[in-house]
Amino acid sequence: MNETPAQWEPKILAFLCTWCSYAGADLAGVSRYQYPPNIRIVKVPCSGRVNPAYILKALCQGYDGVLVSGCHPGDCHYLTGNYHARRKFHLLDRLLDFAGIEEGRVRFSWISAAEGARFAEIMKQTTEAIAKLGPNTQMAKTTVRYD
Amino acid sequence: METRIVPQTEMAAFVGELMKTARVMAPVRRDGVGYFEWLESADQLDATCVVPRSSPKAALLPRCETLFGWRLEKGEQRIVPPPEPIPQILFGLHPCDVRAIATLDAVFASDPSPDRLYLARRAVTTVIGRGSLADPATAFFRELGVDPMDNGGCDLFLAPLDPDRHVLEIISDKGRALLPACERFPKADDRALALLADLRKSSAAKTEANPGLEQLAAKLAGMFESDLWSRIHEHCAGCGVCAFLCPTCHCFDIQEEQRGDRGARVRVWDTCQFGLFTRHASGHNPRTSQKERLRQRIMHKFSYGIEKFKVPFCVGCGRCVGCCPANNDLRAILRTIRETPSE
Amino acid sequence: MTERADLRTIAAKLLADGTVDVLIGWQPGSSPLSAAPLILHAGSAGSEPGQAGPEALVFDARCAMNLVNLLHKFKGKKVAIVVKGCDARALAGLVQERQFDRNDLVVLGAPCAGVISPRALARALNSDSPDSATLKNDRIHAVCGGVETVVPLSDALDPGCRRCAMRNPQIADWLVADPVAQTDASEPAENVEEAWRMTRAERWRKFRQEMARCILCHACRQVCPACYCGECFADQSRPRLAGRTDDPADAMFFHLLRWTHLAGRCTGCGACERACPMGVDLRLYNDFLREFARTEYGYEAGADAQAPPLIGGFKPDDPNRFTL
Repeated sequence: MNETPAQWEPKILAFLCTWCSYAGADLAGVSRYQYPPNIRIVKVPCSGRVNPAYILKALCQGYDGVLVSGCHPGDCHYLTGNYHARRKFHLLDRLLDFAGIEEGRVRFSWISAAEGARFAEIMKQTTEAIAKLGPNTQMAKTTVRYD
Repeated sequence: METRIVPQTEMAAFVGELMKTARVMAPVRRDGVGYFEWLESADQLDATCVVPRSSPKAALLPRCETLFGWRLEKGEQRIVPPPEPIPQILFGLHPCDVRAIATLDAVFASDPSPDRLYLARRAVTTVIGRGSLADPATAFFRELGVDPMDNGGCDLFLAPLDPDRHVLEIISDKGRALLPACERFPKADDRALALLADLRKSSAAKTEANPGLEQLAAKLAGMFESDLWSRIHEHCAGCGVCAFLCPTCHCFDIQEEQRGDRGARVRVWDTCQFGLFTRHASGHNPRTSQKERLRQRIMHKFSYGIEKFKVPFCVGCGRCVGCCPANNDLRAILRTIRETPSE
Repeated sequence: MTERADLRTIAAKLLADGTVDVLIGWQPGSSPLSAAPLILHAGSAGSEPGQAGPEALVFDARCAMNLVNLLHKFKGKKVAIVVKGCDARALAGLVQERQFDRNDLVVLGAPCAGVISPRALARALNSDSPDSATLKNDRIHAVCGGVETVVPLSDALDPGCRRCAMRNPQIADWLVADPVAQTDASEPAENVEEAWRMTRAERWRKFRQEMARCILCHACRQVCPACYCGECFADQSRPRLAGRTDDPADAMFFHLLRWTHLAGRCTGCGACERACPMGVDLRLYNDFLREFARTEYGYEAGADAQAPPLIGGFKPDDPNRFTL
């Protein structure tokens, strides 16, 4: 958090459903797919459990990007959790666009437990896209100022 | 006392001169509504605004103030003191807002724990009041004994003579320090001063000389269990508009802000109208409904404040009257209290 | 068929014959062109000196507050409430969310041609503190600083009222005024269209400017009929979720999250914007929510008390194009 601009590396928070995307991350690891180390993973029981508050709070706390990933629609472990998530995230996606938050700071994907390669690819894409956007200056709080 | 004549057309230029010496908070107008704001340029000034909607208390008690910062350095915690306050001028305060500063002073300078940050900021603050010959429809400062031509508590005071001119009174040492900015204006002649004396006399005549605040405080002290409270809270929505716009409300919350290996303890505005204000760590809340919260607001303003500090925590500016979303009129509440027979 | 009734007569009757315990309506307010809620309890209305009774009830363009917000204070009681068209939608939303049993409510519908917005009025008069102001034949006669100004009522109406498509309350038991002419419902909100025509960077500048004005007094939340959570996310303190500093990010967090909670629930009554003391353009974002619900899901907040809520419901073929 104290890097100079030259050293800056994007920090990305990923909320992964334990039944699919998290297992996909595991498979990516076991299969030795390479992907950038910029992702901090939070394991959640279902993408439907991800409160938009977590995403907004992460941006306020200075994360440069947030990714939420769950099971493909129709494949939810709890049958409908990701359907509920999809409406919520569709709303949040449009709302952030309407408020003018940079495109791609907050991203959503569906990755199954069998898609290790897709997991690595999406992490790579996401990191590259957010690196291109640069540091999150829109919503990161700067109140803590004392030096 | 030294006096000058400031033409209304020169007001922005005067403020421009002041801005060379310190940062200036003054009334601005946006979409027809007046607000006290830090000026970026002198032409933002709205010299017609009598009681702007937001109060100048933000200059002395900012909405968010860092008490101290901290950071971890090689595992060691280092405390960082807050920045030193910078000189500031509050321009165009109505005498009721100047009276409100006296209330804040009484609270924050009081023993046993005078507030060092407030006092440091207060010490570098110059107050330039501006009198008024017309009272806003929602204001009731005269009922509380505040005369809108009174220059008490000001370092400089602009007393209106007519729509085109003010007499600038240079009152205190802080005021005299601003003489270079005042010297461009001609000295006030005897005719102007005589006119001002007349205006002051008729304004004083319209102001309640004995507002009976001690009696009100004593009466309220016996009304804690009155039925009144269960009637007046019913349409209160429980928002913080009244307290946040109030020039005397000064309650705050202290919160921790943290990001990574650094953080700060900050003081932010809070209000007795929020349920969270009194909620204990256990979850218990001694003020369970808006009834208790509204009672606290009235009691604090007109009973506890007077008892403890000898000043009312209300100056009659009328901001809460005009901006309450439910039109819960403080004047009507005071009238009801005064009309309620003592037990 | 909803019957036409005189507001004061029906109110007095409902309170006297025990149909309701409480009646919520409007009375003239104390500041120029304002109205205040009037809450009458059966058995005690007008009984104490100086206390108003049903004869004090009014309905006109001053009656801007959404009284449905106050209903939450009288849960479990039989309540009669005066509602405008937008308020009636909000009420239907609460019935839809099982907050109230429709049978406990007597709805006095007040067809409404629009209410005065303090902000529009201040803009029209270039002052928010007129010495006096009166409404006569759709004209506002105001005195500001001793000078009289006359402005048409339409200049002082809430902008949302000008294109309102729900003027006649849909779920009324009685109508307390004559029905008014409706405008076309299919028009998209101009303000939202205009914002979409801007670039993202321009929308951001607008959003940041609005958020920098917010002082977190929570008036928008407190006057909103849809905000009734026992504990708002903004008040969670163990641990604290929302910040209260003057960093605009704290206001952004509060409003963005509140809007995610209001999607498909906000009826656009505008009570929040009229309550906001700092002039934040809340309507723009609320109108966005309504446009989102309408265009993406064909959903109107409060239009159908039996429908599943927008957020909380789903269809397997919901839009998916926003995902990677």
